[in-house]
Amino acid sequence: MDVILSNLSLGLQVALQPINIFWVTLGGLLGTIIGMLPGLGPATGVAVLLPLTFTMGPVGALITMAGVYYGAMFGGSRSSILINTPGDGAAIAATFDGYPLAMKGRAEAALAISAIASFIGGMISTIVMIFTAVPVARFAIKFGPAEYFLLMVFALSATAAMAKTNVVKGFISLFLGLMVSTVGLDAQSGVSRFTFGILELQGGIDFLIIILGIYALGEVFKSFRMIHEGSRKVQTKFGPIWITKEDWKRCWLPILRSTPLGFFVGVLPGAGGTMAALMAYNNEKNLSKKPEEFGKGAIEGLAAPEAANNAASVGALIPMMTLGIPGSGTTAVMMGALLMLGLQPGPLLFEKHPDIAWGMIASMIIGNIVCIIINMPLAKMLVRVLAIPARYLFPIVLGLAFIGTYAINNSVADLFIMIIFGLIGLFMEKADIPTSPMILAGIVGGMMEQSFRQARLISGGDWSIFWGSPICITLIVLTVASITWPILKEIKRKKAGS
Amino acid sequence: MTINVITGILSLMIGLGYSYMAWTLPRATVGNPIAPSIFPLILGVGMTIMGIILLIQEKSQASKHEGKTVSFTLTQYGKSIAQVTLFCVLYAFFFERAGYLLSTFLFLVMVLYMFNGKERWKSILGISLGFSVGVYILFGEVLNIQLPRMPFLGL
Repeated sequence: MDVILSNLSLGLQVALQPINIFWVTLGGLLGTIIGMLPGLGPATGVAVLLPLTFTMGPVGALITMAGVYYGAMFGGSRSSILINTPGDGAAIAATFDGYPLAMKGRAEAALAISAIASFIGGMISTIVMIFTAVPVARFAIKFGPAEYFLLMVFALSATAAMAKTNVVKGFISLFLGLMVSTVGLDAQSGVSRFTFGILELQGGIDFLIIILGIYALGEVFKSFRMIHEGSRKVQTKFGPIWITKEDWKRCWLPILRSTPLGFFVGVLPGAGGTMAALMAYNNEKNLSKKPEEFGKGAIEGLAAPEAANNAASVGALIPMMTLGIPGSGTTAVMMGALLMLGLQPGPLLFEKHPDIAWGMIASMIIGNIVCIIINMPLAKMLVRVLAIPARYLFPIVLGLAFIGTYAINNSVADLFIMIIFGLIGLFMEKADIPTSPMILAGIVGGMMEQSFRQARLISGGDWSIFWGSPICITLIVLTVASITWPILKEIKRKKAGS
Repeated sequence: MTINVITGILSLMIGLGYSYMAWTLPRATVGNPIAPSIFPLILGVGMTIMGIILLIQEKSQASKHEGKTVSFTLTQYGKSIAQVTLFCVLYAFFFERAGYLLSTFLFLVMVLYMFNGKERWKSILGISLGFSVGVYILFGEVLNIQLPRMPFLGL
């Protein structure tokens, strides 16, 4: 307890420095705007804005990125409510009741409750994170390379098995990502692998370029369908953005119920904000005495998924920061940002760089407060960006993707690699192949192979090291269960259908 | 042919090709000579198996009902993608050769023109100029990252 409090006060000392408050505010503001714009989610936002943080130093950069991550989660539902288009995947559930509320002339209450629910969900989860991060990291420190390898296998296969359409496609995406991670000079033997004799590939393919290609370029490509739409009509005149006592009475319990649900779903690999929000929504609908009001502007139907979504986004940071294993596309990008700054997330991060790890956690508290200010009193101003037509917006995003990619290594070859991945992303969308397993695999692939080889080195090439400890066996069981579970469910569903 | 069949065949080809390349990698001179190949081989075999499973799945599905087949006619959407991709490749090609300012300005003018047409030429020029100059100054002056200069004028 004392340790946690002293850690937290160290973190707060860092986070409360004026310059860091400035960074988290800037990040929250940019994140909210990016989150609002349809087609641009937190992953794209962090990836595109990353080059701006290169000169800030690791603490400032990380705090800014956390602000962007956070702001995007708040912002995503603004557009769900006002124009019935989710700003990111996790905000889909906010369209179900948020938009009907706005249609009824209650846009102010909808905007307010979504910000309040996001705030409460995020705040409670951050406090839980403060108390759980160190124990998880301490436990993970006991992991040997074999355990670590299996942990990554579990996280990745759980993500792949979550694929909505087809588990096999999830795994195709996964293997593709791992294959990409093997390109380049092998650090241990000096053997050049899969470079096709191209000099620029010797250093490997930077996963940030993959992310920018898939998310920024790919998203823009996907969105061309709606680019010819005219400008949207957005409500810009609002009364005070606040809720009534009656609203609060209906919402406080759903918010408190959905927060732990969202947090837990967020910690699990593969599941993320979208799933957390949808689960919370269905859960509330089932519990409600008036389920028929859901979908027609029930305010608790907006509050619950919003709380769950923000709780999940905090929960998802735990495996990324303590184990070095991201569980979603967005946390993968956050991890990419950390690695870019020369910080290896994982159990040792809290020991080696407590100021950075705790500074980031403390800045999430500040970020939460900043974001609720941005999203309530200032919301009236910010929602005007929704009026920017897609035909102006997307070319600008393209421009940002290019400069972001170039700034990573100052290399033109990277620009071509990004274009290739943009097209791969487009094909994957056409073929219904999920992209997040590939992104996760691309980012942990290198570490995964390293653990694999270390384990075999320790055992002298004996494969039994991979099932030689209770932790290993537990992880194998979890992996098998995570793969077979959705398959069994699918079979059951088909049987029921036929 | 359905998109799943195409995906299956592609996965199979990638899996086999990758496995072959992994197997024929030069042997390491230190430590276990095949150490650099083992992990990639697992991946290659895994990908190949996934391709085969997907093809088998499709075959059993196809007998039940017709999957959506892929047409190769170029839609308006496909044309826009092809056009923008071409612009992107040209942009990447001229990024250093023509310098950041000029290449970015021209790239944005072309892409914006594609979607906005002639009538909005004022906005097109304004956004393109504002973005390229803005980013150039932000990176050069504030972030101290020198972007490629034009070979002439030295900008």
